[in-house]
Amino acid sequence: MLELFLGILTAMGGFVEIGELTFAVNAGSKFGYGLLWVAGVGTVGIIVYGEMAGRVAAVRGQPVFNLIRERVGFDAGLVTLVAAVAVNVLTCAAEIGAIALVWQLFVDWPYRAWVAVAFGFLVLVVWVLPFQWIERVFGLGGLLLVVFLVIAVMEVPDLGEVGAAFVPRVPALESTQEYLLYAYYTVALLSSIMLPYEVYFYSSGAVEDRWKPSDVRRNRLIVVVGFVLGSLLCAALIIVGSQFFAPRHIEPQLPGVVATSAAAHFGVAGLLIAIAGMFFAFAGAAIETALSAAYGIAQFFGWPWGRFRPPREASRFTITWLAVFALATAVILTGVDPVSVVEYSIVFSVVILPLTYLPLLLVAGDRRVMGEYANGPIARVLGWLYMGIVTVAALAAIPLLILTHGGQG
Amino acid sequence: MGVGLSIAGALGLATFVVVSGKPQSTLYITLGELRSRAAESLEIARATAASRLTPNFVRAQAAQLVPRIASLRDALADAHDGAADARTARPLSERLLALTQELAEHADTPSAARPIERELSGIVERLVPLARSARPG
Repeated sequence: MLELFLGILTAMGGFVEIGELTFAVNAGSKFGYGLLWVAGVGTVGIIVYGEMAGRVAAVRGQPVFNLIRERVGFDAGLVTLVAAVAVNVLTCAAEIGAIALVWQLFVDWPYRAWVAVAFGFLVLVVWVLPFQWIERVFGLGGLLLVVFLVIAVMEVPDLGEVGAAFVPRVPALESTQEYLLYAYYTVALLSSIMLPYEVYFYSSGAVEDRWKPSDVRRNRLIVVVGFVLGSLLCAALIIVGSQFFAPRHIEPQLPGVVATSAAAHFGVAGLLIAIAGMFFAFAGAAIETALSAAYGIAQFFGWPWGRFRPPREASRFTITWLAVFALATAVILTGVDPVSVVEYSIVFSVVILPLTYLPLLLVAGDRRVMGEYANGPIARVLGWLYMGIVTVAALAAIPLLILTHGGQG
Repeated sequence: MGVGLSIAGALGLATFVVVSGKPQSTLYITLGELRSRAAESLEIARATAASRLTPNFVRAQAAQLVPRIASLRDALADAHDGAADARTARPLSERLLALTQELAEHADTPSAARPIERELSGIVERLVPLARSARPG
């Protein structure tokens, strides 16, 4: 029971990272509650595919990249792998940059010095801590972001309007450019909630934790309850954007600016809680993206992998995650803005979503492979519905990125 | 294989466009960002004046805003479209940059932040209609 409870809290606390924080608050600031429905749609989507990934891992012991190679073949699988690793490196770079920005708010060292410290810290944590501890420390620490849920309530939003905003609709906007920007935010917010690394990490984690078919029910509860609670955080960030930042004409890019909303309500204590929550959320995401890239490469090429093995037994896997951290740190040390990096990584992520999710959908629905644990009618219908949604989003993502000047307007 | 190549091609094309293009080539985007950065500086000054932030937070957060404001000021200096709006916004961006630098360097106490807050409030009031009128449509 405690395991289940911790699993749910970890899933909730690990739901938000720098991309979702930025997009959700900006979505609220630019469009009010107009994108709340995307949080709902995205949450159901990540529940559907997260549940499938956990179930396949529990029943077959196979994580996502094993399935990708098995189902789409080596060539298409390799392109998916390269794109997924590139997106993971970019996302990891953005999270490392965001950690440095957040640490600067505590101690005024130069940004690049904090980037280097963040690199050392992350490597040390992954090297020293067992897998479950990594999940729990950063997942539970990320729960400090619940402060934004409290702020959203204290901002006294119109609950009728909030409820109505979960029904998909396009609001009346002033110009074609604004409609394009709205479409861009729809795709980006959906992508930030359904980020593929979350599924790679979740399914690999299930194998790391040695889940068995008897864990299928636990998997379902963790995914449904944890992700729904996590999506409440996302919705809260949209509401804070709409209620707190929009009237002040702020479209925040920096995590510290988002934290000023906590200071406005709770003073210095609120500020420190918000910043600490961001640190845990960003560090957790940095670790998950680096490990996801290493998991993907090792699983695709059939190398021994897993944090449960000593580094010497999984040397190529270990070298890969170390290399991902190093590469991501090098990217951010060039001086590129982490907020810009995360925006592009999130939009590029949506492009690879269909190729990540299709093999999963095919395997999870295959009775010869999954037996009694194959997709039921609800998972089948939702799975194909979301395959359609992410395919449309994938096709629209790049044109929208270009037409909106990189999402700026 | 075809699908994979399409993905790689799309990512490559987008990267090329993003890297080779100037995302802030349109004035309304620059003005919208400037308004937001000014409002962010104002929020920090206001919270500092109300003793809701730690001194280190004020210095570091304002210092993080400075290069972003400087790049917007430079973009305005290069702007040729909507020349009148750009002319109006240039001195505001200069003053915003100076005030944010002041916050970053030695205005982390409530008494030092109050005059900055007042001036930033005036800048935001002028930038809001400017950014709105520059928007297309």
